[in-house]
Amino acid sequence: MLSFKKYIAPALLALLSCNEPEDALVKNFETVSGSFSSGVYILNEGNFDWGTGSVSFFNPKKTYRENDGFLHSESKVFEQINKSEIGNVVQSMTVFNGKGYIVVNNSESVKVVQPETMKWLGTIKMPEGSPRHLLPIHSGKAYLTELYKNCIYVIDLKKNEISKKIPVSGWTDKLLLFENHAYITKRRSTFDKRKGGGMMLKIDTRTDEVVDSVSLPKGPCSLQIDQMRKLWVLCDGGFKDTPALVRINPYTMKTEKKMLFENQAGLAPSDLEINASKDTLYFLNGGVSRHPIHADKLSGNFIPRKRMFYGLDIHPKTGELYVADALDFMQRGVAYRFSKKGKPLDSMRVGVIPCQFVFMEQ
Amino acid sequence: MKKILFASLFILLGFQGIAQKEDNAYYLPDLDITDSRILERSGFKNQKIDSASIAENTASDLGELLSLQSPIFIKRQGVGGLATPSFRGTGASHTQLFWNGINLNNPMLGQVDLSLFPVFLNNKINVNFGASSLLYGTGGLGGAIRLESQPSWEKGLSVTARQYAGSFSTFATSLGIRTGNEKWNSTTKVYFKTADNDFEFTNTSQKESPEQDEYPRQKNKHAEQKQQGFLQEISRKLGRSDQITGRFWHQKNDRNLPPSMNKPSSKAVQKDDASRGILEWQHNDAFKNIIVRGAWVEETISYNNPDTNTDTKSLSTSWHLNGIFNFQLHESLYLNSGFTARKDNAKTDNYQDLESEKKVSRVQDKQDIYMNLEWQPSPRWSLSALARQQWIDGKAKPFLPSLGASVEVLNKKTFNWQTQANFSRNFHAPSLNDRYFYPVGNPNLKPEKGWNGELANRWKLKHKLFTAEYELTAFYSDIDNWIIWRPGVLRLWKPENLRRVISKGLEHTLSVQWNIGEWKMHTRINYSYISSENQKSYDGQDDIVNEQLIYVPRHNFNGFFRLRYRSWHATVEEQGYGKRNIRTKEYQNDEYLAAYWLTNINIGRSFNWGTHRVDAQLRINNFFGYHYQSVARRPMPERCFGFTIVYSFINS
Repeated sequence: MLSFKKYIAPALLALLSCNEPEDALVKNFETVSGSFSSGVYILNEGNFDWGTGSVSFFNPKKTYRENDGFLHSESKVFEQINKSEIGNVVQSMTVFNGKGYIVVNNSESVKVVQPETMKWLGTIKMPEGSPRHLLPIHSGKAYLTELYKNCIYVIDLKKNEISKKIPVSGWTDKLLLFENHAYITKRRSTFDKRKGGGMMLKIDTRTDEVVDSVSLPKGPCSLQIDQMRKLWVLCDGGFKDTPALVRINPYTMKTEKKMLFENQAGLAPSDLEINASKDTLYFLNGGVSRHPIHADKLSGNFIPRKRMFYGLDIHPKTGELYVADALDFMQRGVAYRFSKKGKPLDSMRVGVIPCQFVFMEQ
Repeated sequence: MKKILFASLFILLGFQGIAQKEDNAYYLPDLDITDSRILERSGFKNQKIDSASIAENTASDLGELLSLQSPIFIKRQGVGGLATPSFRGTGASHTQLFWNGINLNNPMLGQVDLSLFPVFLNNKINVNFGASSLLYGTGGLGGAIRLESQPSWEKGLSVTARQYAGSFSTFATSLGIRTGNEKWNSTTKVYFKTADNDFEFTNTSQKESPEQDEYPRQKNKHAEQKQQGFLQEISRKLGRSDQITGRFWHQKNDRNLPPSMNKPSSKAVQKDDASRGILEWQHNDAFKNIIVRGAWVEETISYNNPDTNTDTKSLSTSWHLNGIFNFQLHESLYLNSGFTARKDNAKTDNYQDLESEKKVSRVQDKQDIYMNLEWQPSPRWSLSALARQQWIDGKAKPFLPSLGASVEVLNKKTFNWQTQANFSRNFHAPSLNDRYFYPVGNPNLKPEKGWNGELANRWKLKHKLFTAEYELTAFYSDIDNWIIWRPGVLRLWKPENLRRVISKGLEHTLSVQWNIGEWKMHTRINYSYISSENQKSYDGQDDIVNEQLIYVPRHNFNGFFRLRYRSWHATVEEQGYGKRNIRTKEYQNDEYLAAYWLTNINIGRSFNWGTHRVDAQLRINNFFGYHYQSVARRPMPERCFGFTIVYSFINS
């Protein structure tokens, strides 16, 4: 047990020679290609506070199978290219106008990168803030939602800084741009003492003013717009209420349809996505469910659940489904690729708490 | 020692008193004189932290001291931050802390923060390994830490005043006054500490901008802390064999919580206030020892973070009633027995009614009875058999039998070999947070339950010039229904009985003392190897089996070498820990916390003028400036200094 070579010699060495600061937390890297113009980025949140988020990259055409049966994906891409961690918790990435905007919630910042290389270009800081998701409005402006500070940041994309704050109350989360308006969901966590929580705001992007709102069931966690110009909002129920899928007319801000998820023991739906032709909605509900926009009833999962599905995105060209499994949140997660019909294609080991996929042009 | 054990309780107390005085004779005077009055069980392992080590660390907290002296691994959330124990590979709530027989584990959290216990206030510290803690209570799956004090019946006055000043604007002032005579005794201690903890570190996680080439040097921001403590103990002798003792301990802790390396700022503040009172009656004669005590413990934890609109206050009040009845039944038969009753009342924003969402208080009732027989059938053999039964909220919990045996294999004039073994059942009940934390608390949680065994050998060698002692202990513990919090619906973490953890290991302790003329040397080395692994897959897909638990090092080392020459003394303290996993399952290229090695140096001198005495001591912590992290991305200081000056006056 106590062999000299294995333990005593390194211990003595450690005692006599000072180590470097970066030796305290050992990180191992494998080399990364450095060119990410074709493939899929996988964003990984990382553990809150003591962890770091990470970015993995997967190119279906250039991968190989590892010993454990998983396909190979490049891991910790941002950290390797830039010799700095990205921070925690990685919330989302938006590619716009030749740049990638990665929102890092607890690190109070948005990291701006060059999408093809993951080269870090700069940082938009929101001191003491807790940023969530970014929506580009035009080449000079973006909206950024915020968890605690009762505002929506307006970002100057030319200067990479906050140009103003739109005051709102509560947690603003997902955003969607339709014609000249931004639609923004408002939620409330179980531990948040602020009032409200089930709402959607409509902001005029020309004046940055809240012009309308609609009350929703608790926990509106994501929204999409379909080919009929109808907004769909998925509400997770906020722990106690029944989750619902709601259809809203974006012009009148009236609720047109509300479908309840009955018998949802211990489940909350999340991650509403829509396919490229904008006629079928997909979401996570333990497994993966789909809902044609004209259907009257919610249907069950067509992809069965695994451990903890935590992210869903649809490839805009192939229609393939990418599903992230965060497992127990305390180890590297898994990403699955399914065909449009739900046939499992392959899987790869990604980073800790995978949450989103970003598709780079092929 | 064993023979004395069975001679008589009275004699034993006398003997320990003498041993204690000798210890003090060549070092700092202690205010508390006598040792713990309850005999430890035969065949079980325990450790008394030596008073010289305590004296050298009076400006430290209990966590810092234990990580230097005992095999308990302390995980620390940065300097001055939350310090929780992992004893023999178990979780933080599996170590029970007792203050003069009263359990101080917070009923809501189930654990203690060892950073909130200044060493100065408690200078008798005992460590009970594994089931050795069953004599004091349930739940010590790893073991127990016992802080004790007993009145001295010497006439006179003694005063100790200490001032510590160290790196990062750390100042600690303390004052102790003992006065009394053969009838009564009063001990008063006051403690005050402030620290800025604004040390510099290299942020190896984040660069401030893409243009930066090197990792930036930064200051540990928002880490100031303030601790104030007051302890009063008064004892009165009634007749020849009875005494009553009152104890009161109030402590306030105020600390700013610094951000992790990946967060630019923090405004979070935590306040921990505690008031504890004990009233105790004790009867001692040659054949029996009876203690009845009542205690009241009130703890408030306030957490405020304006950045997240969080402002919570958690108040817990506990009432305790203990009875201990120990009898010398026969020359070779000794009986311990007793009961404890406890009521906890906890009020916090985190306890709400599931339906109405109204704030509610949660109450918990615990009763406990135990009986232990110590039997010495022959001079070489001694046996111990204990049974304990607990009820929580009226429901019977697992019955806990425990057996131990000890044999003197060899007993020569210069050489002694002792072997001991034990086997016990134990359980740990879920905390109030596990049961009621809104909205995820799980009232149906089962207790964590299992058994553990231990086999130990102790060899002692006595020589004219030196004594050496080597102890080798193997332990094995198998705990089922182990509670973990795992992410569930809406990303809310929920406690569940999911694991079965087997922890096993080997503990080596070598202690050597030798005297050459006026040179006195003492060294003690602990090394333990601990494997603590889950055995159970909870949903068929979970494959975290045979993986070392996170933040539990396999290799644990500590030791010291102390040298005394006339009024001088110098000590080198070492501690080293192996790699710690921070992932429940480890893959290639995963990150982990590297092994670390810390060296502290103490040099001191004492000056005597009759009844007056001054001790001066210089302390260098982390002498080699080793870079390490206890919790990932929480910076720890490099080399730092401290200077202590102690004035003491003894008039007896």
